[in-house]
Amino acid sequence: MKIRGWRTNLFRLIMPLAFLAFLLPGFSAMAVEGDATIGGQLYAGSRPMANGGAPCIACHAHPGFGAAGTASYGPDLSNLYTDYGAEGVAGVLESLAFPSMEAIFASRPLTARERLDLSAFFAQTADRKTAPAISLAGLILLGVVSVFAIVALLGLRRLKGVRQPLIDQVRKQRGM
Amino acid sequence: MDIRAQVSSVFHLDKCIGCHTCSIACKNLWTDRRGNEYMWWNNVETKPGTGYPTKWEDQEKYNGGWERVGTQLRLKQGGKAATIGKIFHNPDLPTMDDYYEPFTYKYADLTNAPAGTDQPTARAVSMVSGKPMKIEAGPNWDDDLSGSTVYAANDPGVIELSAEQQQQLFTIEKMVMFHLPRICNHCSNPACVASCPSGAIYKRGEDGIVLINQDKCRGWRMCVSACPYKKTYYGWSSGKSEKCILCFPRQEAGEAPACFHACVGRIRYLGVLLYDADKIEETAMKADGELAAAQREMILDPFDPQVLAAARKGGMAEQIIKAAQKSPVYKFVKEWGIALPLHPEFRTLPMLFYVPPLLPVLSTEHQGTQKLADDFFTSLEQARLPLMYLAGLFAGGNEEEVKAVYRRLIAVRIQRRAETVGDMAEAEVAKARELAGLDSKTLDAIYRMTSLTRIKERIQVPPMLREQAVEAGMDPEEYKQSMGFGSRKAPKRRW
Ligand code: SF4
Ligand code: SF4
Repeated sequence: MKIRGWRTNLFRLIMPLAFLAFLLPGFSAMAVEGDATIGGQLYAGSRPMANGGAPCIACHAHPGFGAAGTASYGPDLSNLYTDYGAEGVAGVLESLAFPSMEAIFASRPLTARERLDLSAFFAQTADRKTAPAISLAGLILLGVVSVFAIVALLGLRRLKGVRQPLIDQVRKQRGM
Repeated sequence: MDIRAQVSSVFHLDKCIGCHTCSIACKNLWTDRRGNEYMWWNNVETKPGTGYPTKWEDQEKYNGGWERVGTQLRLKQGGKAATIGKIFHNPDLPTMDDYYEPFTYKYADLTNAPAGTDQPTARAVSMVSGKPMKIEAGPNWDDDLSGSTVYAANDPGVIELSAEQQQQLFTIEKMVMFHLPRICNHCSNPACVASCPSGAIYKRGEDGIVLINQDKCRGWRMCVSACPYKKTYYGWSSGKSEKCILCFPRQEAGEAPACFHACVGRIRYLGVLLYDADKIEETAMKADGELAAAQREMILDPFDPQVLAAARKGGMAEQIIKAAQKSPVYKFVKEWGIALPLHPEFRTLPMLFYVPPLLPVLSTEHQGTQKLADDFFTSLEQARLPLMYLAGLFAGGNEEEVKAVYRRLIAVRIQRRAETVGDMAEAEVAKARELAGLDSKTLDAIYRMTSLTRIKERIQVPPMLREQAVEAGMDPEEYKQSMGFGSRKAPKRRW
């Protein structure tokens, strides 16, 4: 995810800014740009939301997380940034005014910093249009098929008859 | 000490005449059902020979029994993970041809054939497909050395022998054989029990009989491959595995098991042994050659007050202790030391013991008449049935074990000859006794037990106290109606 991110134009734009942030302590606090990496972690749940909200991945599909990122409870977020732009995303993240999300996030709102990081993540990954190539169900199917294949292969090693070869061997010796 | 009782047996191979009465008694009683035609809970094979199923002793092929892995004992066919891996395709099962394809004859053709110039014949038909078949194998196909270029020559024990020793066995005029009747050994470290994924096989607490719960068995057949003696069988109609039940319903009624009762040669002895269950693992871990001795060690003296105190503390009934004190098996195995387990190196600690055959060993150069005691024991080495072969069968390859047994058996004969024929010098007899390490009274007792005893002495069925046990738990009348070998219920689903 990170490596592929390097390829995006947007990220190339961010880089000098990030460098500046490093040079000028205190600048980052004022920065309007979030950290896409942290955003990704928040999205995937490897970094908890400060107020205890659920990570996005629990309900939403997003390319970049492989087969694990195919949750389908909420809408697919692949095109979020392209469709709504930076402001749209920021607005959505601030209110999260969808019935099923409200129940979770009304009492556990995203912090300003988290919103920025998530926005940056969505912006950075905006060009990943491809839906995951293989769904979880596909993976399971593949697993089952390969287990059966292994079983069939092992089955080739089945004990061959014991008695008949003995007879054949004697017949061969006698040239019958 | 954890003292357990085991209904155990001794087969005296010198006395077996290979009549198969035992097999038939068992077949008629228990396995005369569709789908079970091929299974012989009791079979009699000829040695040397490959037996039934073909080459069952060859664990390189069948992967039965236990093996030592480091300090652990492991099923040769693999542990739990391997069992799950093989659950739908067990690669170690014998094929139908290795047992034999069961057959019958079209007897009706003999009487129904239209009149003609030929004698009517009854053709053989397969009991599996119903089609005419060529009979090429049977449960005792190598009986009395028939087909021995195939079967005797491929006996796993014979293959182990040197070319010279094989020659000794197979020189046409001198060819030797003996019969080996086999039933389930009701092992104290049963591989069948350990292998069952359904937990359907168990060893009865009070008498050590190993049984397959027909309600719990799901037909995985792991026991069929795990038992190194191939003494569990899959029932093709019931979809369950079955094995020798040591006629427990007969024993509970005080009767001898059917094969014991029917035995024409009177080779079969039955009685209770007390053993220390805490020693099982340690015993099974011993080196191949030490296993027979270690197993003897595990069996305890039923007169030792310490043993008795421990047995009583463990809740053993007085009747069982009394039965153990009268057990002929204890005498054969421990007191006299003339009975050995079959293939102890499979490490299942079989609880059926064999008196190895002396006859083909002795009928060598001297046409059965022996001169000096010294001669006896030197001639043992040149015996026609190589000692190594017998040691491979009964002592994990340890020839000393077999020799010790033969010294005792020979001493019995010398003493009897001195008494009845009177052509033996007293010094000879004394020497034989000394070599055997047994006194004259014991030798006499062996003679009596092996040749004169009646069935009640040979077969000491212990009081199994089942009725009392049932009464304690439920109405005996209800028990009687709901139990029995024939009950078949759908297995309880566990999900
Ligand atoms: S002989 Fe085979 S079936 Fe019988 S108890 Fe031993 S392992 Fe089990
Ligand atoms: S009935 Fe007895 S003598 Fe006959 S084959 Fe069986 S064990 Fe041997």
